[in-house]
Amino acid sequence: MKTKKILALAPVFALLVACEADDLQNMQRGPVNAALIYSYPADEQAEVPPKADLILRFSLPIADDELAEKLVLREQHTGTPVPYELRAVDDGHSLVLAPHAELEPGTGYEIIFDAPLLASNGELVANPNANYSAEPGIQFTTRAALSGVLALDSLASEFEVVDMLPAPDSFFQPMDFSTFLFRTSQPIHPDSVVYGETISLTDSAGALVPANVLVKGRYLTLDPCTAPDPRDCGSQQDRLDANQHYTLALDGISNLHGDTLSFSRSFQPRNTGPSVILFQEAVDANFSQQSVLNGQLVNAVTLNSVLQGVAGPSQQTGGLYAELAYAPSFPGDDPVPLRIARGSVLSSTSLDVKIGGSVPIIASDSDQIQGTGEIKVTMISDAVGYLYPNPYSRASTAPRHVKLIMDVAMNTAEAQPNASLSQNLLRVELTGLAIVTNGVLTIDAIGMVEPNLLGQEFTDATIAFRIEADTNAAVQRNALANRPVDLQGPQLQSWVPGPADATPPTRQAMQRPGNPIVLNFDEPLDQDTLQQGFVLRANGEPLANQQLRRQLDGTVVTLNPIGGLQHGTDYELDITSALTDLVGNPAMPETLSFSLPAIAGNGAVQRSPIALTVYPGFPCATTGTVSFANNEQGRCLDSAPSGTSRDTLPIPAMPEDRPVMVVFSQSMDLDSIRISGDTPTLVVERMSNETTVAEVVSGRLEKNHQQIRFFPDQPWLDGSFYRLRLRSASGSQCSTSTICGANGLPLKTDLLVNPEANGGPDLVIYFRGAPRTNTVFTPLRNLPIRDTNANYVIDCHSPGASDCLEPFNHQPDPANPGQFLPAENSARLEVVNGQATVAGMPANANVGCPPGNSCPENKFIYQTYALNTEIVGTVTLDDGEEAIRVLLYPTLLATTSASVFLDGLGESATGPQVLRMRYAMSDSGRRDGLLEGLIRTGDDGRPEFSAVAPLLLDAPNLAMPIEGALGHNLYSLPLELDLSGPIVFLDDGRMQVVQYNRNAPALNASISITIPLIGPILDCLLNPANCLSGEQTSTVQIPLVIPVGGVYLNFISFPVKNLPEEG
Amino acid sequence: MPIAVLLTKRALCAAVALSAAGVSLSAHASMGNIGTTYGLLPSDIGTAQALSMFNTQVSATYYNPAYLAKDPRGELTTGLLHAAQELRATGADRTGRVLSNTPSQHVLIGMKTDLSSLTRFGPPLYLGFVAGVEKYGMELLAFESETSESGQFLHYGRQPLFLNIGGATTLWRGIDAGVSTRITLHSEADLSTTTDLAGNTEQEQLSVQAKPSIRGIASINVDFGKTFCPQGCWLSGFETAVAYRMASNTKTTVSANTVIPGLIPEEEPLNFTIVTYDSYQPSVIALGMHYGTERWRVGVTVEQQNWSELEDELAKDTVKDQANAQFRDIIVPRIGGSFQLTRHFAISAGLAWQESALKSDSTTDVNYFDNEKYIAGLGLTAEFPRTRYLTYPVRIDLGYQRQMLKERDFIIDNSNPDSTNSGTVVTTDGDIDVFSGSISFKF
Repeated sequence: MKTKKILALAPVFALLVACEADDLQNMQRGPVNAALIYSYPADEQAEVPPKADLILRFSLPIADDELAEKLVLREQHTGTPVPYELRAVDDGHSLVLAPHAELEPGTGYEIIFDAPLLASNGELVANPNANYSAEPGIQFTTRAALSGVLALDSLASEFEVVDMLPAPDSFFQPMDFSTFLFRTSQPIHPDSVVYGETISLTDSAGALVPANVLVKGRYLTLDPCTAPDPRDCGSQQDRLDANQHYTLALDGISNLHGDTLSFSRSFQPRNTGPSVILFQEAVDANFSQQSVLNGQLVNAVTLNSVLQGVAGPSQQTGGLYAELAYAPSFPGDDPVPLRIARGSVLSSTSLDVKIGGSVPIIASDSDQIQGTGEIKVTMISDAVGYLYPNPYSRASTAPRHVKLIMDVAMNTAEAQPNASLSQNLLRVELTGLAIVTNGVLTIDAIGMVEPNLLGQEFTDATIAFRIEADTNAAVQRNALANRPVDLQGPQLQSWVPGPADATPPTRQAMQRPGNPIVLNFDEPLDQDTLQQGFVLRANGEPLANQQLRRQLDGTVVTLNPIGGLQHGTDYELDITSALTDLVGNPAMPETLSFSLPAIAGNGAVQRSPIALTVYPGFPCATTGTVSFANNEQGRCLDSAPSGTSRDTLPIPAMPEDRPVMVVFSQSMDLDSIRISGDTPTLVVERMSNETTVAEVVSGRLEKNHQQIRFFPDQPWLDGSFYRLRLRSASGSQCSTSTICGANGLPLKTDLLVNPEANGGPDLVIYFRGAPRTNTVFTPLRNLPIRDTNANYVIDCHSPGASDCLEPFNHQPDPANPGQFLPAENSARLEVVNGQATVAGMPANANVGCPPGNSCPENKFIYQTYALNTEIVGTVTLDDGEEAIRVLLYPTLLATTSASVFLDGLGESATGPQVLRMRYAMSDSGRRDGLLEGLIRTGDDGRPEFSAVAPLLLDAPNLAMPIEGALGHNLYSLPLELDLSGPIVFLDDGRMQVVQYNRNAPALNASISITIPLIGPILDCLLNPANCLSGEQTSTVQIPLVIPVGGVYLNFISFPVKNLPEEG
Repeated sequence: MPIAVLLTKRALCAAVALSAAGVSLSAHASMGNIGTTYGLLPSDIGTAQALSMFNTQVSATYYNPAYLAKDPRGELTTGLLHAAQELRATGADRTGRVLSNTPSQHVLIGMKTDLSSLTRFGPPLYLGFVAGVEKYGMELLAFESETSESGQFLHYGRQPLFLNIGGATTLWRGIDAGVSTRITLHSEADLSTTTDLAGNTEQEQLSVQAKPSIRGIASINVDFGKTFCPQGCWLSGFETAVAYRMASNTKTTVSANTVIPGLIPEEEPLNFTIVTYDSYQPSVIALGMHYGTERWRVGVTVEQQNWSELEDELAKDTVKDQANAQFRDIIVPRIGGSFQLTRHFAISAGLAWQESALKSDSTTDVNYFDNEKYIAGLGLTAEFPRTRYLTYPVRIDLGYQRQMLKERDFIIDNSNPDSTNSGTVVTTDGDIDVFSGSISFKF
């Protein structure tokens, strides 16, 4: 039986061999959802810098030929498309849109996919729609301008709080460790922000929570700090109570015009505990790694500006200790908050400082190119951050988003760049992706900073951050154990005016009332310690605390007493140990002494102040013949005889976002300069034609003792004509309708008529609105000057004495022993070969003293001068060299009198002379252009400035020994100065330009006798050839010359920080 | 040859797969156990469980413990079971038909004995014990609980360890009562560790515990003949049995705590706990009627399987709670018979019909498939009272069962945003061929 069964099975087994199992089915793997996973700016991001490039990143590479048509970047409200250039990065995973022109400030934009984009695998990418935003597409708004013009700098016509971050009922909720950031619609006046009075955070019992408040422009930050020791601010002990209700209240904060706002919000913070500290590092890739987002070098900072060109890249490194909230308390789409403690530092390697990016600056103490030294970025408040699931894509591979907003202070290790770059930058926003790769949490983020360089230009730098956090337990433990502790107090690096032995030693002589005291430290300071940290003593008497105005920006403290610094006063500034850095380390106490040069002395003549420069325009009262069509506004009023050829002044162009600026030769009575009220003395009007006023331009007047600026509320309209009027009256009487100096004399506007008379007619200047420009306006002042009280007289009992109000301070001339070199802002005059011609006969002549006498100290005239310049940018010269083109705005300057002694005729004093810079001949054949100058690298490797200045000389009060009706040719006498000289950067950030003349311009003074009847007879006798022709040969011909190197001009730029008296 | 006729190609291939039992196919666990899904011994399989309640073999411990008292002879049984499953699902989101063809391969061992002599009491006491181990003894636990984007069948797949022990006694004349227990494992694992984002762990702690879950089976068997007319009357040969089996399942709880330096603090580690069930067996009430003579036997069994209780179980299940699966209680009728061909050989056959317990056509993320099935069985018994080598009789059983799943449409539903086949209509059906062989020694 059994055998039978087994046999039966045999064929079955044979069949079994030829078997195969049915295959299991295959699931069709659906296509990987192609989607947008990241954008810069993020959807609904505000305050985006206008120069930003826009970045889109996708989960798959995009391979679409019609991208330019499908990807639309346009203004949100008007729908106007913005042209851009497209660049693919990371094999098409990221797209960078670089708009051809800067975006408009304060405007909303959007990025829309008009049709789905084609990915490389055939998938279509639809229009993105972030899950926290109701509107499809990516919407963002740019920040308002930073010009000072109200309409351009505002987001709305009302002064109000635009939003608060974090806010209850918004995507980003208030946490118990949050820092609160406010944005207002118009710039805030910093003095109106007082914690506890105009801004406060109170708990449910109404008690004030200790907090630090920061304000700059339209940004306001409130960073609560509940830890008793400032060193622990931002640590895990610094927390609000999650069980209490808190109220944020703003009441009485005002904008620059005086409007106030009021705002209040209550919230209950969410508990973030138990939190963890995560150590993250900005990767030091040594310039080898490119960001996958925009292709830039990772963690590299490149500053773009006109003044410094493209400076960089500099490598940024640093370790950040981020406090992360307990993630399981924030499930689903809730953002997980994080905080980075204040005091955290990111540092960058040194950047070479080059003017325009091509002319290197040599450090004053070495022969190396000036570098910035280590650039430090310190967080001055606890930075706010959030980690949340990808809002654009639900796919499991889509990385999380991270948003970090911080307030930082920038400063550098080297003194000069520190003074020029140190500042607070509020609301720096980083948007990025966070994902774990190879066990390391990697954050790729884009952020843009716009520091103000030298107080003159806003630079921009886009930084592609790459921050990595290795969660390996040993690495984290090690990092926490070695967390750096700041034990060093702040140290003073440089200051304005500077010690008596600073470089140059004339720093204190260059200080004027209105210039603040500027102190540059090496690390950020605690704002609350400014009050007790400084005591200023004037002539030994300490000023009351509220008499000294203080301001902190970055690591720079600006101090200015109410009423400004005074001439002839000895000041002592005490820095006390009450001044601390952010964590409480005290500063080293020291005392700085300085004084301003004296101006009042025994019997010094008082003269009216003049406007040294007016921007826009030329600072002389004109004949008033205006023609808009011909672009001219008359000629300067002068006392030249008819027939003298004179230059016609053009109507200058004024870029829409610049303020009107006037620099005076002396301190002014600020109450006499008014734009409103019954009798405004400074009036700006828009003209519909040469005679009809369309409207009075409203604005804001910023007043400083020797300088005022008028910021219009609305930008200057392109093509519209405007009129600026500075009121004055002839004579020495001040009234309610004249602008007056502090010495009680009205403003002199017609210097060419009689420089020794006081007062003058109204100064009326026409100008034309023009579009914004990228060039940088750089005002300069000629200091130090010997004639400190600007009365065109050397107040000294003898020109060479040094024990008087305006002492002699020249260096001996090594080439000519016994002679002196010109001092700053002076010119040496000589008679050519010591020979003049009197009545056709040679006569000995000498400058300063009778011929044959030696008076080397009397050969000089001293200038009172200021100059406005425009830094245009880099040009390539014919020989391939790169230089920076600078334009000079023509202005006038006054000098002291020069005396020429003639044998037999005695002394002839020129009286105060006026030199006017002429406008350059432009292509239209008229003199309406600005003068050209160049900054290049000199033969010694140092930067050098050169320009050719066509000038006109006037000496209306030329005096002759012979009394009587005499005429002379010193009216609009043309001469040309070929100037060149080195540029030095001072350690307080200012730029000093020294200019010497390379040519020896001739000044042929001719004096002719114009006595009726006798004159021609006398002349006929002396010059028989003229008897018949009736011509008159000049009786006295004095050939004067300024020798090569005889003019020494010293220009200094304005202090980097400004603390005006009013406004 | 009768055997050759019955074998189809697929069956042949399945038999080949038998030899490749060492190859691991995806462990696809399921609801139910071998006792209810196929049958324990070939005699159960061959009759589609119709005569299981009236089976003198050791499998009575599970189906009708009271029947242990029927045959006082002890028995030692060992067997093999191979269930070759071809479960098919066709849909637009996939190519190919076969969703799963994981076989269920058990080795069985059972024993029953008369313990009457153990006690001084009068009433007889019988003991039975059955154990079945998956993958021919290589897979003891076979626990799997998952969500599936492509779908999974509710029944079939690997079965967990089958352990059943029970006893019976005669109450009075022809009335026997029996009780047995089914033992399943409920295990708990606790893991606590500190890890970084690269998976490097330190300070790990792991503990695993398994508790037995003891579920009872009770039954009463009435032999009308013996009860009412021991001498013999028209009632002789009729038997009725009622059995109640409690619901049972296998459960696993995994609890993990992790600390990630810099992200999750030690004071409050990230904790997640998964509690899930598998191999759920609903409570069953079975009623059987049997009439047998010397030559032939016929039996009808009606089972009520209370699958609706599974809804509550799934609600507590971390893996499957989002499915919102709806179940209904079903009634399974079975009919079968056996015929003694010769002195040694007997054949048996059976038919059963089981409707689908799953009411829902779409279960989120879990994507259960379950079909109405027709079960047909065929068995062959050979009994040799005397052999050359063994003292006691030997019985060899061979059984074959075919389960034919009726076509049914389901809709795939996945909540994962990455999945692309949500909403696809999938048509499911399948065939299962069960082969079983056992050898029993009676003593």
